[in-house]
Amino acid sequence: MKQVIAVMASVMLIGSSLQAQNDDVLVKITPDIPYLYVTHMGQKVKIGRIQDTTNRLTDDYTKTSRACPPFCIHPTKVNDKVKTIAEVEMAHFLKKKVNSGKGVVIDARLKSWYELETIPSAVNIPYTVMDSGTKKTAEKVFRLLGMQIRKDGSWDFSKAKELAVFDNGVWCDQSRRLIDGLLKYGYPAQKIVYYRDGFQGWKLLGLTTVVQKENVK
Amino acid sequence: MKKSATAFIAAIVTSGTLQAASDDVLVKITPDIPYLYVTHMGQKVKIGRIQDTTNRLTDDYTKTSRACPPFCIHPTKVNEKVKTIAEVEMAHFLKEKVNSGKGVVIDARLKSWYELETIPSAINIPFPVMESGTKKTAEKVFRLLGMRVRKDGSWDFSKAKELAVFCNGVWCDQSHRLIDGMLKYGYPAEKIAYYRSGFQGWKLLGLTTVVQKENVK
Repeated sequence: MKQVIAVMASVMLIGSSLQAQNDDVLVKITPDIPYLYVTHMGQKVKIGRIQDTTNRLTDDYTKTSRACPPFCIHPTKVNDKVKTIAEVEMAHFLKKKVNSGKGVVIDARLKSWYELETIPSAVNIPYTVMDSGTKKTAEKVFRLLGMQIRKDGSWDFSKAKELAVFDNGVWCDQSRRLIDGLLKYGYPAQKIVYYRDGFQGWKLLGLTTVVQKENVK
Repeated sequence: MKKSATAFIAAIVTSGTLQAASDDVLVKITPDIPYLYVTHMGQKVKIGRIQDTTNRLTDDYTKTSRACPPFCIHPTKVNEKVKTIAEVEMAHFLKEKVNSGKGVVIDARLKSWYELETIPSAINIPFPVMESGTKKTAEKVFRLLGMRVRKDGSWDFSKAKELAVFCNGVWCDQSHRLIDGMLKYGYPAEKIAYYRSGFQGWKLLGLTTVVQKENVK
């Protein structure tokens, strides 16, 4: 609790100096958002973009030709009822929903990928958990996401968090499989969004990532 | 006429052998579309994906940090009424609409960019044409796109083509500016789609491009 208050106080202090520095940021996230702060595993993290205009992506996310099938390009929508979003919407989601506790970014990849490198503030729900999960598993996951169980045993999603789900990129089907699993057990579609560009899109725009374990991949 | 008839016959002959070859394609566009044919400047062009699974993008499209402003990341939608699409929808659009004459892919970039390298079958309408264009300019452009002028002088868009507009990528606002210009002069929003990932997204998936002029850029 003390840590949360300390973080809040420091965020407010920094917030006022942000305005002055606003104009110094060459590569902003959006015209109104030069950078933003989130909490990742209890630590405050600044999400911004790499400021070096000559910087290029050179890692495996520049590979163009993963075999299809199985790594086929996804359509724009993963499901008719689930909205597809991109980076600008992610920035607003982080600022407004995640920071107020109403939303969560979900990394749908396997734990090893999440630990290697992920989007700041993201929580890991590997797609396999919901893909082959039981109703019992779903209940556990949903409770963590704010679902409540009524006296009659039915599930109340009114306080359940809004979720922004991502995986490796447009050719990765793990988000879809996680989302299908969530919908199957009743998570409200209007509370789920699909960040289609995923980790590849995030890195391609030089956005901040958190590296948790050094790993050769 | 002779040339297009020959091209047409060649397309039919080739498509007969497509089925047999289908299973040999390692990196398909979609599970049902290993590759597809379009016409670009009168020539038949095969659109497929680079088949080398180790291939990486290394050109300027891997740059992560263009100054924002002015090269800010675009929201998912360019306009409330205009649909945003991606590569799978582009593939279907090319197969069904472009090849039947009902649709056109529009490269909204400046002519020099279009001539350097573009998406096969795309025609070029540089964004300044519509952005700073007059009603007279709009009429010319729209007529080329199938709009007809009624006896009373009003504009009939019933036979106007469907358009898929793209520019350099999610940080490029040229599609947005072209589309705004088109909507301003009455082109039906439901006949326009915005391919947000643009040329960067296209290249990042190893999709075929046409190079028209060798140029150092």
